[in-house]
Formats: sequence, C-alpha cells, structure tokens
Amino acid sequence: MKKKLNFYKLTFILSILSLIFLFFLTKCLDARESSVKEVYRKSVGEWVKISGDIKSIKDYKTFTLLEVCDEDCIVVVSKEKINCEMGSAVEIVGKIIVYKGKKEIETKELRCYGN
Amino acid sequence: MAIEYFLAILLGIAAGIFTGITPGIHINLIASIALALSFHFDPLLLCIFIVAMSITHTFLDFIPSVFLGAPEDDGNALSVLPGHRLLMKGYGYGAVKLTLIGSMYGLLLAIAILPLYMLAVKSAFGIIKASVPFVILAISLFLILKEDKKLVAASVFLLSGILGILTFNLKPLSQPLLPLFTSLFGLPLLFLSIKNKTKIKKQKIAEIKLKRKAKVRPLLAGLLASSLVSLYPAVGSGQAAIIGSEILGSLNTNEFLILVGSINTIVMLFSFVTAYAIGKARSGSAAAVAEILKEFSLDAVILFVIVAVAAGLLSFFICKAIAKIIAKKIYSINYAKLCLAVILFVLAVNIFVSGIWSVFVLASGLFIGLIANISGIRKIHMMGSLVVPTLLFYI
Repeated sequence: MKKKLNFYKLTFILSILSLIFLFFLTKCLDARESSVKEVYRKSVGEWVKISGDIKSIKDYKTFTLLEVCDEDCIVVVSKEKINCEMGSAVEIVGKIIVYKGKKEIETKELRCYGN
Repeated sequence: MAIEYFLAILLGIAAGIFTGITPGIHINLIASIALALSFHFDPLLLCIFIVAMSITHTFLDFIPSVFLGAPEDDGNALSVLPGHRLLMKGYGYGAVKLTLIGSMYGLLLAIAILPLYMLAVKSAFGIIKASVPFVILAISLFLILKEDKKLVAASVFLLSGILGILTFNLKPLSQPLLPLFTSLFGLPLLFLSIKNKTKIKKQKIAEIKLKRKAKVRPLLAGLLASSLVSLYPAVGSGQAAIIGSEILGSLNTNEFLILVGSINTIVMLFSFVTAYAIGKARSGSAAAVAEILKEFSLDAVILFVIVAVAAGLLSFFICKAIAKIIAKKIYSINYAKLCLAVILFVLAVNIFVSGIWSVFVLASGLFIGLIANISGIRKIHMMGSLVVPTLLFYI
C-alpha cells in the first residue's frame, strides 16, 4: 500500500515536471521562417512560418482563401473569418497541405500588419 | 465505375483492419495521407475509401482495447475497463463480440434515424453553436462530480488540459493527436501490465448469451447519447458512453460493452453527416472527406451510408474471426513481452510520424495516465486534453 502511494506521488510530481519542461519547449521551438519557394520544397504536414503580402482574398461559406506572395505566391486557407485587406502584410504560421495537386498552407496563426 | 467503388470499399476495409488492430495507428493518420494524395485519385473514390476505413476501424479497435493492457488482478475493481474485466475471466472473445453487436445494430439504428437527425441538426445548429462551451464544460464537470475522488479527477482533467494546450502549440510536431492520445490512453495501461506482470487466463471461445432486452436498452441509450455528443467538439465516445449509462441507470459489463460498441460506430457515421449538414467535421476522417470534396452534397452522404453498411457487414465477420484467433493464441504468448513490444512499436510510430519532440508529449501523457489508472478514477477525465483547448478557443 505504501509502495503504491509512493509510486502515485512520484507519477504526480513527474507529470508536473514534464509539463513544465514541455512548456519551455513550446516557447523555445518555433516553426522555422521560410520563403514561399522553400515551402514548396517541404513535405506535407510540416509547420511553416511565412511573411508576405496578400494579393487576393476569396471568402467561401466555411473558409477563406488568400493568395500570399513574397517573391513567389502560395494559396493560404483559413477556416476562420479574417479581417485583413488586400495588400496587407501578413505573417502566417500553419501547416502544409495539398489540394488538387498544389501545396497550400492551412493557417494556425495569422497576423495582419495594415496596408 | 462500380468496380472502382467496390475496390475502394475493399481497400478501405483493409486499411481499417490495419488501423483497428494496430495499437498507435489511428485512422486520422491514414486519412491525412489520403488527403495528401488527393491530387492523384478521384476525390469521390478517396472519400469512399476513408468512409469504409473509418467504419471498419470502429468495429476492430476494440480488439487491442480488450486484449492489451489488462490489469494484474481478476478485474473486479471498478476502475478496470469492462473489456479487461471479461478478458481476465477468460471471456475476451465474448467481450469483443458484444462490442460488435453494438457496432452493427448501432449502425443500422443510426441509419434508420438519419433523416430525422439531419433535420434536427440543421434546424438546431444555431443553438448547438452557441451552447458548445457550456455543454462541454457541463459534461466534464458532471463526470468529475460523479467520482468519489473528485480532487484527483479534477487534477487529472486539468493536467490533461494543460498537456493538450502544450501539445497543440508544439510547432515542430506533426499529427499532435497521435502522441497525445497514445500517451494518455494507451501507454499507461501497457506500462502497468508490464510492471504488475499480468498473466492472461486461457480464453473461452464462447458467445455471451443475452436477453433481447439487454441488447435493446444499451442500443437505444447509445443512439440517444451519440446523437447528442456527435454535435459537439471535444466530446467523444467515452463521454457518450458514461452519459448513455446514466440514461439507463445501472449497466452491467455486457450491456456497457454493447453501449460503447454502438456509440463508437454511430459517432463516426454521424460525423460525416454533421460535416454535410452543418459544415462541422467532428472527426479527422470527416474533416478529410470534407476537405477532399469541398462541396459536400446529399448524394455523397447517401453513397457514404451505403458504403458504411457494406463495410460494417464485412467488418463484423472479419473482426469475429480475428478476435477468435487472438483469443486462442493470447494465453500462450508472454504478455509482458507483448506489451513491451507494443510500447516500442508505438514509440517508433510516434517518432516517425510526429517527430522526435513527440517523445516529451509521450512522457508527460504517460505520467498523467498513470495517475488516472493508479487512483482508480475514470480515464475519461483525460479528455480534458481536448476539452480545455476547445474551451480556451471559445473564451
């Protein structure tokens, strides 16, 4: 019984310590900033962070499509309604997906920096 | 074209068997691979494959749940999963058969009420949307308050919630649900089986005889609970099973297994329907289908229902055969070595699919899962890993 209680306490302490460690990992590790050209070379499912300007915005019923360009352009899918305007500078963190044979980015974070 | 549809169903069933009986391999993984390959294949065929795989998976995933991670005692403790309780008494095959009865009849009942469900979902969407944070919070609180060890249950819920938030924010991680759920719900049971040197009794290949009433009661409760929880994010089969058993009052082990079997399959079927009806995908498979199709039509839903029935019928017999083989062999296998091999396999899959950083998620989840298992509370509180991030999203 005492052995079980000690093991129980140990798992509790270890769970808290491991969560603290994981917290620092989330702060330290970030998706690497990439150019649009680099995104095309990466694998599907990878996290990426890109910066560029919005060339076009198309609103659909359940998602919004943006075309974001630096020297190259890529389609960005946002499942949330966004309040950016055409020409705005944006920073996007998201995952690479493929639709109809073309790589796109599905956003996780999207920040607009005005026109 | 008919031959191509048929082949897609068969391949989906084969994939569902693989994901169902292989610990640590989830359908979301295969669905995401299918999504990535969507430009090579006809979208509808790919969706048929995903639907067939998903329904098959819900029939087969009770095989590892029942046969792996069993506790060291005779399985009479309340915290022991019902499937393990029967396994430890020599009725592992019977336990799987009960979940199959639940899955098959649950699927047919769900199809019978599908038009009504679709109408109800469409008309009540506004209320559902507004009530999401309140309902999932209420369900979680209800489950915590039902426990004798409320403080431990609340702690496990919160720790799981923190783990969920951190996992979803670990940027280099692919497929975050894989290490999250593997660590919370899979690894602790396997770890304890090794630690406690569990020995499995010789299994009886016998049907567990049930009266008609004992089948009808859990099936109806399963249908009702699934209809409710399939509308809300972060609420899954586990919570639905507890709600279902609350609707029924006291449930014995056999009835509970029929209930969880039915809920597992109904929630999956309904996830495709809600993706069509309200544009909200409540499962990874439904999300993949919605993403591949883009325009989700009623014709597609009808086709998916036919696919689900075909996959369900075939899976029923395939799962029975596989469970029979495993039940005959499990007695002669070194159970601790088997569990260790599964742990190593799961670890390799996680590193390969989610990346090396998933190891830290696995470690955290393992410790939290051990707290839940040792303290004897329901494991369902670890669904806080999805509930808390969802609640934060709504705040």
